[in-house]
Amino acid sequence: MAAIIKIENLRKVYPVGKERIVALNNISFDIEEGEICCILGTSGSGKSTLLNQLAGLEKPTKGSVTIGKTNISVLSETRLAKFRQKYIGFVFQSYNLLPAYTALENVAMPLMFRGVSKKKREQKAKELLKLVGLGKRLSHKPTQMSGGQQQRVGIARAFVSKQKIIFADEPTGNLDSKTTREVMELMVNLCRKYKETFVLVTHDRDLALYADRIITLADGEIIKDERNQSIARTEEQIAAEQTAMESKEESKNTEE
Amino acid sequence: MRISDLISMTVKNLLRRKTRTLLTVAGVIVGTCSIVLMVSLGIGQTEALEQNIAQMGDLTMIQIYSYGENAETVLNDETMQRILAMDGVQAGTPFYNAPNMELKLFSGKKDRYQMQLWGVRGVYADQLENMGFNLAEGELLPAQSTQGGKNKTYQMLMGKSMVYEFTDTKAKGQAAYRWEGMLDANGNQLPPFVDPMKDELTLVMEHTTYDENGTANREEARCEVEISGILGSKDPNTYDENSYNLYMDINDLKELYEEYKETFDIKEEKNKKNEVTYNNAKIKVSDIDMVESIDKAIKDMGFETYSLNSIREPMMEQMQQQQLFLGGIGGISLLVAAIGISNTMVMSIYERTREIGIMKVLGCKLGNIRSVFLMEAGLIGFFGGLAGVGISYGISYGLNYLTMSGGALSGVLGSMLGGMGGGGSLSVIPLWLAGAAVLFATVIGLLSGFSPANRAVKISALEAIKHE
Repeated sequence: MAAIIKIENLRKVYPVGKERIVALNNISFDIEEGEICCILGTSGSGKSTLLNQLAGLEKPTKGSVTIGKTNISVLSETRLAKFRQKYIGFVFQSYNLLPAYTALENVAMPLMFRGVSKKKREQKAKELLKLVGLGKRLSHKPTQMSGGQQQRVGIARAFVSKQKIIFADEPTGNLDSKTTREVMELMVNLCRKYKETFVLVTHDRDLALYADRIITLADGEIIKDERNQSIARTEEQIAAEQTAMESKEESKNTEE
Repeated sequence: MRISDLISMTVKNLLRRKTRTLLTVAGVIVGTCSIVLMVSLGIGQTEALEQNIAQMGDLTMIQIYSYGENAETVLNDETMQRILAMDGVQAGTPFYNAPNMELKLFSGKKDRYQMQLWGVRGVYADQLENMGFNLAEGELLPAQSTQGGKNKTYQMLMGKSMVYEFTDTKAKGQAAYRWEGMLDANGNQLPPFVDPMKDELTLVMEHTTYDENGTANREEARCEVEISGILGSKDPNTYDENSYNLYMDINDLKELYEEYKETFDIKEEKNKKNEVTYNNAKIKVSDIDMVESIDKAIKDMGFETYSLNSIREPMMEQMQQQQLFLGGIGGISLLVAAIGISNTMVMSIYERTREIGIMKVLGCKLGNIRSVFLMEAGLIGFFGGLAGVGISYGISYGLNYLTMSGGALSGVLGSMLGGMGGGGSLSVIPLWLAGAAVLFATVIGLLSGFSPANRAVKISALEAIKHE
């Protein structure tokens, strides 16, 4: 498989008063297409900073991040917005749903920014919401839903426009353990189904077990980069993987 | 993003904070109202002034004077033709006065009703229609009376009010006179003694000479006359300057004068060139905008001119200044409203920092974010302007109602605003003012939203997401 994200000599330094704090110290690695990659680290290890660089939310001090063939470290704000619109989906710890909009409208929003018609985008959003098990909560506003439900709306939103890469920053940070499991399985299944690359940032070792690959960060440096051998794949997941292959072909056709 | 989505998003945002939106809109309403009403008062005043001037006479008329025989340019038929040939001159005629000619009109049995004819003026008969002469009855003058010679019937135009000049030679005191609006014992209006259109009339030429003893010797000669029409407005309330005039065809009058001199054997010292000159003339211009240039061209020929337009211009200029001043006062409150819009938008951006960040992360283009905020500000301006104009129409109607003749405020406001009277409306809101006000309010809204919108665009997505 080809590398979809290339990180080369990435360095990020924050000036704090007169001191300079090195958050990332010359990091280089690749993430392959379709890979579920977990960036693991304690708080202050630089994992969130790394995610921000990968998603183009922050410019690196040195080095570059290349997604596909584009070096996003040098893109202007305007170009970045377009790029994100096309390639990147997000799942946040604090869900970040727009409180004034219903679940359906929230999920349809990335498509709205792309200029998809109301009818089409709501149809797709409905599809996704059904997939995450919220088919009956389309017109609920975020405040009328539980944390787990809100995060599922967030997940539906991230997957709705079939982005190539999904970034998730502590997506289960505010959820209890049962819901955490549900949400993680949902995300992993969707990634496999749509064959998307998934970059998960967490401090939780248990969550890392869902990933194909675990990169451990400490003090801005990679201390471990390992393949996860212990993934216990359920029957369900295997089946999902197979259908994903087919439905990807399908969705490709419908998109074109 | 589609435009329809942008609009629905904008409206949604505005409706989310109804109270704040309404308060901001209220500010714009007050601003728009004050500016519209102030200007409408100015327009009302200008219109009243226009009406007043128009009542004074036709604005497209230019009077031409030629003073003294030494003047380089004399007003004669030749120069008159030159003036008539000018571009934009619709019609015109000189006024010919036959000097020292005593004329009288007799009517009734045994010349019972008599009238002195002073100042019969000779005019170009063919120009009268285009000069805009108003007829109350009959027809304008035919061109020079066809039949010539001694037994000719002279044609004359008489002003409506002149008809009352007939006096009854048999009656004594007040009974000898009639005037317009005179009532009989039963309160009915009394007509003049003579109906010149129906009754037979005689034109009487008189000449008085004195012998050595100072005894007056009065001679008279009679000729036929017909009144072709009565001049004046059909509407009794409208003033018409021709109501007090008498006109004849210029050549008829000249002929009559020759006859007069011949009859009474009067020798007159002819001027050197042996030509007839006129003291004054009047022309009508086809377009009010051309009055000024034609007026100047005639002045350049060496004549004196007078037109109502020449007094209208400075008055209008003064009015415009006043309107500008009034509009400026109204503008101040709109400026306050603009600050209000800016403030609302800045507040709303602070409140929505996180939302803007999320939108950015989800791939919303910067231009779209700017558009949303600009449109919110613009819509506040637009709706404020719209409502403001609507309310202004209401207030304007109320003001006009109250100041209508006898209204409670007519005295107070009338004197405050210069009291033009004339029955015109105090406040007038033409369509262009309404349209301009809405447009202006919208533009003010957009301008006030410009800096906040740019601020929203500059918000860092990362900061915004972390913003709690």
